[in-house]
Amino acid sequence: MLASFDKHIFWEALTSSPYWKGALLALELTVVSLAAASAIGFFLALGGGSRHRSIRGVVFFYSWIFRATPTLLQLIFIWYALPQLWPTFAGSWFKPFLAAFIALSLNEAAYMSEIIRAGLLSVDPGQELAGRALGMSRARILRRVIVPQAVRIIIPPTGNEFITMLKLTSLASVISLHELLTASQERATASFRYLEAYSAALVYYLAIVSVLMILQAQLERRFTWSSVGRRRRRVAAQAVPAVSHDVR
Amino acid sequence: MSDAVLRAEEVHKSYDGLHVLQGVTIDVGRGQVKVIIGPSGSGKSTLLRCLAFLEPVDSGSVYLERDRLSGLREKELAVHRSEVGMVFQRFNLFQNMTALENVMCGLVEVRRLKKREARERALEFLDRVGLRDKADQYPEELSGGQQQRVAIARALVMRPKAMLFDEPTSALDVELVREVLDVMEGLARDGMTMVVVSHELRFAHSVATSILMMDEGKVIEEAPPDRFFSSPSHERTKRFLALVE
Amino acid sequence: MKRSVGPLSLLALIAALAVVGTAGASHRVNAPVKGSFKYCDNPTFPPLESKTSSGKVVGFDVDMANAIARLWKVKAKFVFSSFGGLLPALGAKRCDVVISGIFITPDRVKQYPAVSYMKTHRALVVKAGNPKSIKGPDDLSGKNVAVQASTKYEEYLKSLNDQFKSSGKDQMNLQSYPGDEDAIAQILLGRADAVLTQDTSGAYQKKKNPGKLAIAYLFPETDTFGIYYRKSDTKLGAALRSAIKTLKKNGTLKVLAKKQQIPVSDVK
Repeated sequence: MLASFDKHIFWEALTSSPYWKGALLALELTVVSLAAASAIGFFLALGGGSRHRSIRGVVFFYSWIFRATPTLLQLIFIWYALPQLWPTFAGSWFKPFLAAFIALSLNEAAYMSEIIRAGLLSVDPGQELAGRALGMSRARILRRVIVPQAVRIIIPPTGNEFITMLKLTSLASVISLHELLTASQERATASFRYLEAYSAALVYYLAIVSVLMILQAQLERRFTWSSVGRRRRRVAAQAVPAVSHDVR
Repeated sequence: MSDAVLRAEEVHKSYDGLHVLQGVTIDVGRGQVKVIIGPSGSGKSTLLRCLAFLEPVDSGSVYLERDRLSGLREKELAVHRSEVGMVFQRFNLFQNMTALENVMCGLVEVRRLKKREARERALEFLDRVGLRDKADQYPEELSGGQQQRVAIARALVMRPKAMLFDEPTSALDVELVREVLDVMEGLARDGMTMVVVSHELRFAHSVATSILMMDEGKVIEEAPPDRFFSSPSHERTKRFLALVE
Repeated sequence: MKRSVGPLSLLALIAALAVVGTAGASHRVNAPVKGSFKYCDNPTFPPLESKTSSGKVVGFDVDMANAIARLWKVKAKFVFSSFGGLLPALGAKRCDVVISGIFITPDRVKQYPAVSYMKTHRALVVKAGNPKSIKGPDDLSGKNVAVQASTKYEEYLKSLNDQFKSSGKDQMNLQSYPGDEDAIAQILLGRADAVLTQDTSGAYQKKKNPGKLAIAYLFPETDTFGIYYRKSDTKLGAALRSAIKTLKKNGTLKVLAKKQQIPVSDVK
């Protein structure tokens, strides 16, 4: 018995305000969380290569804690456990979006630091040597030589992380964030049209990821250092394998 | 030796438990070209890096003109490094910059020149090594010989007091070696103070002021080319020359 | 590892069939299902259904399901679902009935018929002492209110918010959570001022957190909890109706209600 698919109901869901607002919210949360995670991850990556054992220890500890515990648990912890420790976190200033942003950024930073570290390591050590020989400070070498080359390597796995992050935002529904998944659940339970309600949500997720893939391809092309217009280059063989954690 | 441009005095250096430099003393006067040869593991590259202030020494001193720089801290050292040019065996051009940008890099980042001025100067030096037409190419689009010449220009543009070369042609295909040696010979003729680690004995013979033989962390012999090649005094020098020629 | 049906096992099989046959013969209640029936349940709504700290599912609904099963001489099997997923699961035949503290409402009945078994009032639960002086639904304007997601409570609060908006009053800051207990937790944490839920849940939570919660307001209208089943299972529906009637008549439901401190008038 094939269930019927009502195109009109599907379209209504697709164009409804809770859906596109929820999708926008999910996208917003993804972008800011990934940005923060990259920034934190960058410093973690640098710390991971530090000469001081204490710094390396801190980085290891951070990575261990945030990768070993489920993201959902971290999210719930921040929402439920923090107010128990410090009542200020029960205040209305601590909105679900903020809590989700904090949880997702901290969590993702642990993964981004691995990716960034591998990217930094993939740059030939001779580059830094040449920079030092010219008299450049380590910070300048990082900024002008190492990071641009590392970025080329980290673009593909970071694109992957973006997709993962987008899917993780749906977890925030359990701490009462009204994003896309929530919108689809509400419509489904109110209308009993599960197929149409959830399909519309799927379409939004697909659309966002597709746009991301196009942007990623463009970004990769920009970091191909070639003076001949559109020459396509394959990324070097020592490219970083994607840090696999889709089981999250 | 008060007019020595570069001077190392009783330098010792170990790493990973290996005593790589065991009391090396060498001085290079203005306009002199010193070529260092020796078997691998003798410490030639390490010595060069110490002379370039890229590595600290365990004991002894390294002087640039009259200044004893070997004891300085990283920040102060960085500035002086730009006064000693270094050319590496694997070129080490910045992959994310064009040839022109590579040559400009030191001027902009270290000497803090304005981009326009840096570009003019850089083009001039690219011209000197015969690569002005490759200014907008990226390193991966250039041949090994071209990359090395750009690397030389990159170091030269900083108007260093001395130029150090660490086996500059060892990574090149045979037919590309000549173009680089030509540039280096030109530099020598123009009076640049140079220290070169190389296996190119004919080059050494034609431009060197003196040739140094290093073995097991020590300089065991130094002599002007004619004497060095025709009548080396040390036993190990003789053996090494026999192997290489 | 081959197993051959030896004479001994064949004998055992015949014996078993005989026992089943004779057992059924004594009180023949028409069992509409064979062997067992599955009921979908979302165990986040004590005292009707919840999980103990050891993970066991307990509550009035669980006891009632087992009582029905005893009547039919079959077993009742619990199937977990989120609250919003209860009816979809029924439709997808992941279970035969839904017994989960779920109201009978016109829009639900349109899709799936239901048998009522308990009346109940909605309640607003607040912090002990009612610090925000919430005396009724209108006092919710401008407050932080938590609720279980995808429930009728949430629907009601949303329309209440629309009413507030159109009459120029401050809207509620509405937060929705997977479980009813999660919403109650927000009051204990100090994040929410009120929770809209059932009197059964309110009484239970009050007992569980002595001195921390209070029932600020009891809605006069009653709702009815129902057991949902698929339209096509007419035999099952009829059997459910008669089973509930029987359990009410013979006082079983009263006993079960008393066990959970639910007012017995609710199961009359």
